[in-house]
Amino acid sequence: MHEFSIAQDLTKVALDSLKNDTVQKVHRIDLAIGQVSGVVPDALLFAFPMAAKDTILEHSEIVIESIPLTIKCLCCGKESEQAEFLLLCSHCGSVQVNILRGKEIKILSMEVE
Amino acid sequence: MCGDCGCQEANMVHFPQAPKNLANLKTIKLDLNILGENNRIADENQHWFSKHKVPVVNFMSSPGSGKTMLLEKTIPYFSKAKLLVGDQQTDNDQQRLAKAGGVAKQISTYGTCHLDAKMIANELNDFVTGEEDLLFIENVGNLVCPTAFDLGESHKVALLSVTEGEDKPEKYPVLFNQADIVLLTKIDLLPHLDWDQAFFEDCLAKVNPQARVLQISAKTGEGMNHWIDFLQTVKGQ
Repeated sequence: MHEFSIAQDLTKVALDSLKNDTVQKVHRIDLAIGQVSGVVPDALLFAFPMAAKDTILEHSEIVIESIPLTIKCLCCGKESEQAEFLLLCSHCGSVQVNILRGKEIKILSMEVE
Repeated sequence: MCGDCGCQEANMVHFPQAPKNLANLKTIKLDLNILGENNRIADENQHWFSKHKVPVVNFMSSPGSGKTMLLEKTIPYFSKAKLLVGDQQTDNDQQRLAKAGGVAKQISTYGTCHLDAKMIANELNDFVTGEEDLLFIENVGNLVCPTAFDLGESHKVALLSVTEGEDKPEKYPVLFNQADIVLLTKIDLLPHLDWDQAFFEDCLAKVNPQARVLQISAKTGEGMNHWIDFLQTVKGQ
């Protein structure tokens, strides 16, 4: 359950990004969470209200966009989106692949007032 | 369908919302890494280690895979090495490593299930002086959480003991994907198990096709020479 640490970091990063702004309330936070980031979205949603308590983020709606694992083959050059963690090109079967997307733990945007 | 309000956006969670003043609403576009702070400190750690020429090896595995015993048997080969060891509580591992001749410090994480970059940064210019020829970091035993927190290490080592099962790399892909080297430990127990080496290698290849694997028994010493050779190479880098 490292998601509480992540929720604390989320709170800190979000508040830091607003420190020069006159925002009074954050209504919604859009996140991108990669499928292989090691973060469980439900656990993060559970932890966030505790981390954000008594801040302008309290009661924010959290919307998570799940980013699937996408790999690029170094042999045939094609990209594949993987349903599970499998580092195998689905076009040519090569294991010489790079991970393009799927490790993100990011704030994309915030709706504020 | 959302059970609270009936909307179709099932991935949304509806906490009690503050009333919105629509006239003043605005959306701020960001692209911020939530672990930016940990990564920033990890980068600083890495810079410090590089400046002082201290290679750092981060050991990750489930609890009970044999990290501490492997380190006990590794210590005699590296007289200038130091060790940081993470556990939720007790200094049992620090005591074991000290008894084996190591200079070790326990980091108690209490409610936290992993080490993070700040915990390591706190030890720099203090317990870790920069005169070490290797720093071993024994992470909290956990196959999930330590993967999200870079420490500034130069190498990540994953351990899997043969009693844990061949398919653990596929079940916990993120950790085994990150490993530069995978140590299959407790191989002295193989005569008592139905271990399927080919199945294990298939499971690992799915998540880390390039991983180097060493088979080791810290208890009998089998395979230790290859492990020490690997560390000598790390030391020389």
